[in-house]
Amino acid sequence: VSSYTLKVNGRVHAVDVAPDTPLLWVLRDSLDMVGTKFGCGIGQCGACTVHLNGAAVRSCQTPVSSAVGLAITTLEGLSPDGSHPVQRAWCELDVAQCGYCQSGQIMSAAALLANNPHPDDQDIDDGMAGNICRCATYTRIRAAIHRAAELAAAGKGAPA
Amino acid sequence: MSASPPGSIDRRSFLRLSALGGGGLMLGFWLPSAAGAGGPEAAEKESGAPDGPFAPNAYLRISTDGAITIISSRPEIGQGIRTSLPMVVAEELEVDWQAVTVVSAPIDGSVYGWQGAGGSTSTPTSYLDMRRAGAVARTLLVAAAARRWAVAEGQCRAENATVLHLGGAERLTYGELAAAAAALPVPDPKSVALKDPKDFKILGRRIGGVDNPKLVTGRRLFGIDQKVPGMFHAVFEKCPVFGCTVDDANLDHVKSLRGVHDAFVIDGTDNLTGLMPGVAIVADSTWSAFSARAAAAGGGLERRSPQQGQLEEVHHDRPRALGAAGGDRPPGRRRRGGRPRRSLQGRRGGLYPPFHFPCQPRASELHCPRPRRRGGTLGADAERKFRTGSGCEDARDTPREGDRAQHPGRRRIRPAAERRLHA
Repeated sequence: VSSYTLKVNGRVHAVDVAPDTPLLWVLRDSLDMVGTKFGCGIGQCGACTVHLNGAAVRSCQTPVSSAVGLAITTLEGLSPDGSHPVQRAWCELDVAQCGYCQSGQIMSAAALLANNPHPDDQDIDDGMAGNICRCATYTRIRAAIHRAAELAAAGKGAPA
Repeated sequence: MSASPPGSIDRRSFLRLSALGGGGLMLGFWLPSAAGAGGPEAAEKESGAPDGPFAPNAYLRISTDGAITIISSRPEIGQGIRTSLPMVVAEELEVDWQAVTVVSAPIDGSVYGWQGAGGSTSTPTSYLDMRRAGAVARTLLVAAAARRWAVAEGQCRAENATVLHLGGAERLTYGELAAAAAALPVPDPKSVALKDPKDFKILGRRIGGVDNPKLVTGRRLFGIDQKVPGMFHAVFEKCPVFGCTVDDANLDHVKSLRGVHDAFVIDGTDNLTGLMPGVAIVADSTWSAFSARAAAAGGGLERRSPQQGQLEEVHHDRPRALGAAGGDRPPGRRRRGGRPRRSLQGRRGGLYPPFHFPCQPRASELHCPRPRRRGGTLGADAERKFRTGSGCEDARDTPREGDRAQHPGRRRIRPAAERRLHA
């Protein structure tokens, strides 16, 4: 067990965990931040997606030791009040069905839009390919990403 | 915001109002579909306790400050029931959907009846009851206003959580009327006027899920998100092949691993759809439990492979035997009708194939956090839970915000276990 200092959503946390502990479980179990979801545990589903210095990564495949010194952003920290364009678009288009995968979908979508403010359908399909949804909400996800791009462009919010 | 305990409500009445502790109107309503087709009378006969407590399974609550709460008793598993049934109540109640707070009922079958989901039946079987529940409350609120103003009820109209006097400028909010409405006799729900569907303001519109704001901000909603004091994390490493049994397991080694509190062999059940044999590991964190499971699976768990013929026994003979013993669906006539002779033309003797394949968990996890039993040892308590597949029914002990994905499941086996073993 080792001590690590992590910067999550702008706040500094100290945790004592085994070095091989995935960031996912540090977030969920140690820090009680349950917005990040456990899906497959092998980097195949995308439910656990968070941002490291703005890049979308799978937190189940990210050892805690490799996240030290980086800015970690989870769904809870995407915006202070749920006003990120992606969050607003997700509510507006009622994207979620069961909702379990949507944390990862939203984080991947936010990272996609940060790099490409006006993605076309193909850009979205490519960028979101690693996030799977058993409810098959893919068409709404795509529509909501287009809508989030509009909202961001309209200056009603800024992508992360 | 939590549901008030149901308390004792006269089962003889279809509906009953109660004055809340802080003043207000609480309306419990009975869903015949949840307790058998016969409704309250039939349920009363069945129970043989005519003076026992009436068991309503949902509530509508209006407090004196005007807060409107609709309690959803069905599990939300993505079908949207936590949104749709409250919409039906709100429609007849004549309130703005934005003003409604939906809360989940605690899990208590003795109060709420069957709290399940399946077959797409919740909305069709509850629709009329929910409309009547909202309409009864609206009727009572209108009656309370009419009394206050000493006018005929027909001269009053409910609109947007307010009762208006058509002949004058008076208006009273539902909050102002709640205490008076709670004192009125409840009309027969079948007698109250329902809205004309052409006047619907909520039904027929697309309304976003009530949990959307929580979903997009990462709030605690799912079974796996729940925490209880003193909680441990348990995983189950089942035998990788159907029909295997645990021959030996390196339990001492597993128990010595970091964060592991206990480990023990579970024999499994004779029920082929039940728990398979394996090793249960109880640890202080999910990752400790996962790591220990990998150690158990990576050589620690010795399994007795099926012998020649054993798989046939598992997949063919045992289901038949269970079926014959009544423990499973026995072979025999399932339905009448159709044209079996024509369908089976040329197949002498018919077909008798009892197939059986154990159920596999879906991709999503089934989680049932529950507190330790007072006085019970951790191992014994966890073992009981694994063995019996119980625990979810105890979830009512678990404080939680919502019941999303907390549907009862027989098994809590992580699919990752199989992948790891087959890799």
